[in-house]
Amino acid sequence: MKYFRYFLTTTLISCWGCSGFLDEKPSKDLVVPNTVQDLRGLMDNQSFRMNNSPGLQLAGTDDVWTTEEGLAGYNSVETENAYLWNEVVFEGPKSADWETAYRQIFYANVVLDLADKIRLGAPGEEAELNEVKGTAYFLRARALFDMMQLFAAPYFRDSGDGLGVVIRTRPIITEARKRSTAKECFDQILDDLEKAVALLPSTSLFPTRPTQAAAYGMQARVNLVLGDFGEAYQSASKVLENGLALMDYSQVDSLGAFPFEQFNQEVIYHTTMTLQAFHSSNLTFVDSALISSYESGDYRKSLYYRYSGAGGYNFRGSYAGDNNLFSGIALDEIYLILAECAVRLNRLDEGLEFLNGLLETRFSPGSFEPVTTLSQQELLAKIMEERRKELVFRGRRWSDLRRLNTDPSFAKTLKRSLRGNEYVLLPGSARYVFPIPQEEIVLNGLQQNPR
Amino acid sequence: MFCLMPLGIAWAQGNTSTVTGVVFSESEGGTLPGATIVCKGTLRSAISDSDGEFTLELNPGRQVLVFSYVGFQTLELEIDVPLAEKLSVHLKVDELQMEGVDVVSTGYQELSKERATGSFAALDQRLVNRSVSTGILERLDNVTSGLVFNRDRGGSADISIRGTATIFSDTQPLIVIDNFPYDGPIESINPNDVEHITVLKDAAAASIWGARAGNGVIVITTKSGKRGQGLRVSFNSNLSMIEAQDPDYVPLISSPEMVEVERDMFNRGVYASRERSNSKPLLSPVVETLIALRDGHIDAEEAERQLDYHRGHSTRDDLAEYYYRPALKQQYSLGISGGGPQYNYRAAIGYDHNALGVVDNNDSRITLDLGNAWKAVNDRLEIGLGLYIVQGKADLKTQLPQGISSPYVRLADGAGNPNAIARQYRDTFTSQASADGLLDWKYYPLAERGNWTNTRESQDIRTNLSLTYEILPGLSVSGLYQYWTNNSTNWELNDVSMFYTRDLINTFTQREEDGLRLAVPMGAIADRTWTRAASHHFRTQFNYSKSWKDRHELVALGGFEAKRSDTEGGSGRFYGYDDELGISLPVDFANRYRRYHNNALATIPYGVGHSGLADRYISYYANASYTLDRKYLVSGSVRKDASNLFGVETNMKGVPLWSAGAAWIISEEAFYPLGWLPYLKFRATYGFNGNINRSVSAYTTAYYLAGSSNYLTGLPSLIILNPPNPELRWERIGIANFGMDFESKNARVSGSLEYYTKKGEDLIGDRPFPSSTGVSSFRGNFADTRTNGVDLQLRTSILDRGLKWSSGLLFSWVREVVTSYDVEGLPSDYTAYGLGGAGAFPPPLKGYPLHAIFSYPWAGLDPDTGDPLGISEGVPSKDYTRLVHFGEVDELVYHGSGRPTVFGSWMNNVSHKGFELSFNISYRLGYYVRKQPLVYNSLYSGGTIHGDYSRRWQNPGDETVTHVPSFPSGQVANRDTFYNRSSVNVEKGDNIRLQDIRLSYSVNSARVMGTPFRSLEIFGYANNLAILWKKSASYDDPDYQLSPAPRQFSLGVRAGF
Repeated sequence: MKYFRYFLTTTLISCWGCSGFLDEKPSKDLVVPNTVQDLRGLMDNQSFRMNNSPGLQLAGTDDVWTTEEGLAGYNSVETENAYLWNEVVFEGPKSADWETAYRQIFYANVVLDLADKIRLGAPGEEAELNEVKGTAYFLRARALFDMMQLFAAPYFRDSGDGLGVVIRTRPIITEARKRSTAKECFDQILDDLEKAVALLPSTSLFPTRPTQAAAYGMQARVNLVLGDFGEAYQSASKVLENGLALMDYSQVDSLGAFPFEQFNQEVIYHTTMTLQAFHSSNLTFVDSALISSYESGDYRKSLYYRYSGAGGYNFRGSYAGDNNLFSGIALDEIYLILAECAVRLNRLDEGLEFLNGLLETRFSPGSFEPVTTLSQQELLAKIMEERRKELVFRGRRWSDLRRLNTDPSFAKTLKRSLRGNEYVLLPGSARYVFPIPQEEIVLNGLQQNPR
Repeated sequence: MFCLMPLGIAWAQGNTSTVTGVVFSESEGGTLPGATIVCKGTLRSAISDSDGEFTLELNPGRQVLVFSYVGFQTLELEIDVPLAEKLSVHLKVDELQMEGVDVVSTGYQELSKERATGSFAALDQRLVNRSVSTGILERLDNVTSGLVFNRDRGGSADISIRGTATIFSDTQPLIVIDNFPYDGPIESINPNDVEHITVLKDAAAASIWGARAGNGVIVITTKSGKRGQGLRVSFNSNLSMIEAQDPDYVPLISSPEMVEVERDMFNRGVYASRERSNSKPLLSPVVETLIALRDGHIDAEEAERQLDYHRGHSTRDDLAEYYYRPALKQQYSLGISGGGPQYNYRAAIGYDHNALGVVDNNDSRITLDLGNAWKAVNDRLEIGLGLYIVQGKADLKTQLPQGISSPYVRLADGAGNPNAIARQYRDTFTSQASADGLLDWKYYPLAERGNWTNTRESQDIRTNLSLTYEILPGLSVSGLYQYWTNNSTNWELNDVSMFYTRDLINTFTQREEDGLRLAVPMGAIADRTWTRAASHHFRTQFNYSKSWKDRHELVALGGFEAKRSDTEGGSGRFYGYDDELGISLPVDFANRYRRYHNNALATIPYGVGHSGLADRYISYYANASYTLDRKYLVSGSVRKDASNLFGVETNMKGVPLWSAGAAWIISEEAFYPLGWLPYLKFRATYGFNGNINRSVSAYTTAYYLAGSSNYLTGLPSLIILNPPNPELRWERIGIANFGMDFESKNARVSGSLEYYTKKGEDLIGDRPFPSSTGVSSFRGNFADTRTNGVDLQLRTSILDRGLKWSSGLLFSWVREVVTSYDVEGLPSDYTAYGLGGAGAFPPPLKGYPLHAIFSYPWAGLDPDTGDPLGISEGVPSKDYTRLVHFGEVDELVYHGSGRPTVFGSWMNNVSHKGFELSFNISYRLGYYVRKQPLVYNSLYSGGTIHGDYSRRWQNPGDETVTHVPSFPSGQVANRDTFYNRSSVNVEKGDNIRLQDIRLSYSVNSARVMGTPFRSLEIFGYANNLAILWKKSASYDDPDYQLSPAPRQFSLGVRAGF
C-alpha cells in the first residue's frame, strides 16, 4: 500500500488548502446580508419600490374624471374597473399595489430579522443600525397602513372591529398568515411607528429615508384616519418641533412643465404612487368643481394644473417634480391635520391659525384674506375643502372619502357617466374596499371582501 | 477502496488456447496500438497494446478474426486454432471508410462496448462528418439514440437526453472535451477536430461525473496522431448555402386590412388619448393621415391617395429585399498527423467563414489544434501535451429595422432611397424638435444598413498536460492538468447616423433660458463589454487492470479532481466618442435631467457594470469493473462532489452519488441455443446522478445594484434574491436501466433495446407563493418526477454485395410525469406554455408531464357577437377574467406533452463502388403545440395582429366556418388570452420529415494512381428538406413556429494525401 500513501499525499498537496477553497463566493455581487451597509442597501432600494405607495385607488376618487377615449388610452382594464367601481377590479390574479406593499413589509422583516444577528464593526455603526431598524419599522407600518386603506373596510377607534389585512412580522415565507382584524392591524401599525420614533434620527441624508419627523407625521396620518384626533394632534405638533417651514408659492416658477422641485423644503418623507398610465395621461382631468373652487390669487391653480385643451385640466403639481405623483409626507399635510384636529377638539382659534398659516403661503401677497371666525362645523367644512384643494393627487383623497362618509354632513355620493351608463358610489359602499387579489384566495385561503 | 461482490459460483471453462499477434500499419510499417480484434461470432475481443501486440483466448477450430482500427480498412482473417506462431497482421489505410468504433469514452477511461454495463450512444467520425455545420452539437441531431433537440421554446440548441429530470436547474447535458468538462462556448469546437462522441445516458455510464451528470453527459474526444504512422495530410472543405429568412412565415394582417382597422379605430376615438399625450408617442402613418384630414390640413382626395399608398405596400417585402439574404458558410480544415515508435503528433488548422442571413453580417472562426504524445522510461512513462486555440469573430453591421409596428411602412422611396420614418415619437413632434434646433429625430433604417458596428471577438485557449506512469504491470498513476482561458470583448459603436444615438442626445437635450444644452454630448456612443475567464482542472488517478487465472479480469480506477474557475467581466460606455482620435467626453450620471419629450426626470444611462463568478469543485471518484469468464460483468462507481455552492454549510455541500451494474453475455454460455443470434447480452444498472442549482441557497442572499439603478438618490442598494431556505438539498436522480444488445449471424441485424426509469428526487421547483409573503414564488426542493422510456437501436445490412444497402433505425419513447408537487397554481399558470417561443415553463402539476399542455374548454363563438365562449360551471360563459384566472385547474383540458414523446430516425445508406447515398428520415410524435396568438388588444396599443384576422367572425353564421373571434369594439380583459389558450388552438405536433440527404463519391489510392491523393471524397448534403407528413394542417411546421426550419445545401470535399 506504499502507492496508496503516495496517492494520498498527492491528493492532499493538490487540495489548495481545502478549507478556503470552497468558501469562495460564486458571484461577486452576491452577498448574504450581514453588515449595516447591506441592510441599508435593502432599505434604500428605490428600483424595487421601497419608496412607492399604492396608485390605483386614485382612479376611484372624485378628484379625477376622464372620457371613453381616456379609458381606451390607459390600456388598463384595472384602471377602468377602479374608475367605474366595478365588482371585479384586477385583470389577473395579482395586484401591483398589494404586491409592492407586501414586498416592502418582507424587506423590512428581513432587515429586522438580520439586525439582531449583524456583526458591528466601526464605532458609530450601532447608531446607524438603529436608524436602519427604525426605517424598517417605519416602512412596515406605512405599507400595512396603505393596505388597510385599500383592502379593508374603514375602521375607527370607537366603532366595531372588522376584517383587516395580513400582518407579517417575520421573513419566514412558509409561515401561513390569514387576515387579522382591523384593530390588530392598527395596533401593529402604531406599535411599529412607536418603535420607529424611538430609533429614527432627526435628520437624514435624503428624504427617501424616514426621520423621526416622518414617523410622527405617519402617526398623525394614521390617527386621523382612526378618528383619534387628540393623538393625531399630538403627533403632528411634534413634526413642527423640527423647525420646518412652508414654501412660499409666490416664489415658485410656474413656467416649467413641472413647477415643484423634487425633495423640496416641505417634503418630510418622499414616496410616489406606483405609476399607472392614467396618472400622466392628458385625458385624466381634475374634477371641474374642484378647479373652480380655487379663488383668484390662489397660486395653486396655476402651479398644480395645466389646461389640456381638451375641456379639462391636467394635474402637474407633484412634489416629485415630474409625472410621478408624490404621496409622501409633506409639511402642508401636517398643517392641515393640525388645523382639523384642533377644530375637532374645539380649539377653533388654533385651528384657524394653522389654516391661515398654510393659506398665507399659497396666495399672492395682495389677495390673501385670512379665514375669520366661523362656527366649528363651518370651520371644519372649510378645512376639509382646503384639505382637498391642497392635497389633490397626493393619494389622500381615497382615505378621506372613506372616513368622511360616516359623517352625514360630509358624506358624498360619487357619480360617473360613460357610454350612456350611470355609475354611482354611495357613501359607505362596499366598493370602497378593493377585492383581495385572487392569488391570495387560492394560495393562501384568505377571505374575500364582499363587493 | 473497491467493494466487489465475490462471485461464488464456478463456471465451466472450455479448452481454449492462446493466440497472440502484432498489428502493423501496412503503408507505414509501424505497429498499431489500440486496434480492436474481435473473434467473429463471439465476444472474444482484445485491443492491441502500445506495441501493437494482442492476446486472445480462443476455442479450437476455424475462427475468423476481425481487425479494425480507425482510419484503416477492416480486415477479416481466418485462422485455425491452436496457432503455432505469432500472427502478423497488416492493415490498409482507408481514411474514408471508418466503421463504428466499438470503443466508448467516459472521459475517465475508454472501454470497449462489450465490457460496458451502462448505456452509451457512440458517434464515430463517420457519423460526425456526415452532416455539415459550424458547430458540433448540431451534428448529434437525429443520429443519437435517446437525444432530442427541443423546439418548444425556440432559440438555440436545447437538448434533452432521455427526457428532462430537472425543472429549474440547468437542463442541458454536461459537455466533456478531452477528459474535462468544457467551460467555454461550444461554438469554439471545430467539428473537423472531433474523433468521436459518446453520450452517457444512464447512471452507470454517467455517475462518474457525479453531481453534474443528471442531464446526461456528452463526451467529445478530439483527434490525435497514431504512433508508427507516417505523415498524413488531410484536407476538408465545404460550402453551404442556407435559405434566406422568410419574413412572411408567421402570417400578419395585410396592409389594406390594417388601414381599415386603423380607420375604424380612429373613428372610435381610440387614438385620442395618445394623440394628446405628453409623451408624444408614435402614431402610425394612417392615423396621422386621418388626423390631418380631420384637422383640415389635407382634403379627402389627398387622404384617400395616402391611404392607397399605404394599402399598396408590405414592410415585409422590404425586409426580404433589403435585409435578408441566403447565408453562405465556408469551412476549411487542413491537418497533418503521424508518429514514430515513441511519439505521435497531430496539427490541424481550421477556418470557418459564415456570411449570415442578414446583409453585412459575418462571423468567422480560426481553430488551431496541436497534440503530441511521447513515451519514455522504457515506455513506462507517457506524456501528452495538447493545445487548442480558437479565434472567433463576429462582425455585425446591420440591424433589422426596429420600432416599426405598422405593416405597410415603406423603408425606401420609389427610387430605392432610404425613407425617413417616425419612430417612438410622433412625426409632428420630431419635425418641430428638429426645427427648434435638435438633431434630426427621424429614423432611416435603410441608411443605417452597414453603418452599425458590433464586433465580438473571442480567444479561447485550452491546453492539456497528461502524465501516465506505469508503476507495476497493470498499475499506473496518471496526472492530468488542463488550463483554459477565454477572453471575449464586444464593441458596439453607434455614431450620430444611427437613430439610437440621435434619440439619446435629443432626449437629454435641456431647454435652458439661454437656449438648448446637451446633457449627452454630440458624437458617437460606444459600448465595450468584456469577459475574461480562466479555469484550472487537476486530476490524479490510479488505474489498475489485471487478469488472472485466465478467467478473472479486473479494471479499476480511482482519483481526485479539483477545479477552480473564475470569470470576470465588465462593461463601459463612452459618450461623445471619436473613433478616429479615440477620445470620449465626460457625462454627468449623478443628476437627473428632464427628458425633452415629456419633461420627466431621468438619469443618463450609465452603461457601466462589473461581474465576477467563481466556481470551485473538489471531487473524489472511483470506478471498477470485474469480468468473469468473459460472460459475467459487474461494475460500480462512487463519486463525491463538493462545491462552493453559496451559503450552504460545508456538510451540505458534498453529495455522494453511486452506481452499480451487471451484465451477462448469455451467448457465451455453453447452453446458449440460438444459432441465428450469435451475440446476445443482457445488462442492468442502477444508481444516482445529481444536478446542481446555483440559484438557491440556505441563507438569505441578495445582490448589489449599482447606484445608477437607484433613480432617486443614486445610493447602492440590494435586491433579495433568495429568501432563506434552511431545508435546501441537492437534486438527485435515480436511474435504472435494463438493456439488451444483440447481433444476428454475419451482423445482418444488430442493435440494442433499453428500458429505463429515472426518478427525480428533491427537484428544485418554483412554488407560487401568495404575494403577502413578500415573494411571488419560492425556489426549493418541491418536486419529484418519474421518467421512463425505451430506446431502440437497430442496424441492418440489407444488401452486402456490389450494391451495399444498410439501414439504421432509432426509436425512443419517453414518458415524464410529476409524481409530487406541493402546490397547485392558478389555471392561468398552466395555460401559458406551448407557443414555440421563449417563455415560462409551466409550473409542475402532479400527475402530468413536466411540459404539459393545458387549455381552456372551448364552447365556440357567440352566434350573435362572435365573442369566444368558454365554459364556467358547466354553462357557456363570456366572463373572461373568471374563465382565465378564477376557474379550477381540474376544469382545464389536458392535451398531452409539449415535447415529443416518441422520436427517432430511420437512416439508409446505399453504396455502389465509390458512390454512396444516405438519407435520414426523422420523426417526432406524441406531442402538442399551441397556435400562434391572435391579440386584438395589441391593435389597441398600436401594434399589429396575426393574419388570422382575415378569418375572423364578421356576421352571424360565420361561427360555423371559423373559430377566430370578432374584432371587439374595445379592450376586453382577458378575451384574447382566453381565446389563444383555449382548446381550439391546441393541435397535435406529430410529424415525419425528410431530414437530410447526402450523396458522395469517393475514391481511394488504388483508383487514383498518379495523383497525390491517398483518398478523395466529394459530397453534396442537404438538410431540413421537407415535412413528409404532419398530423395537423394548421401549421406549416409545428417544430418551427416562429421561423422556418432553415433549408441548407452543401457541397464538400475531403481529401487525404
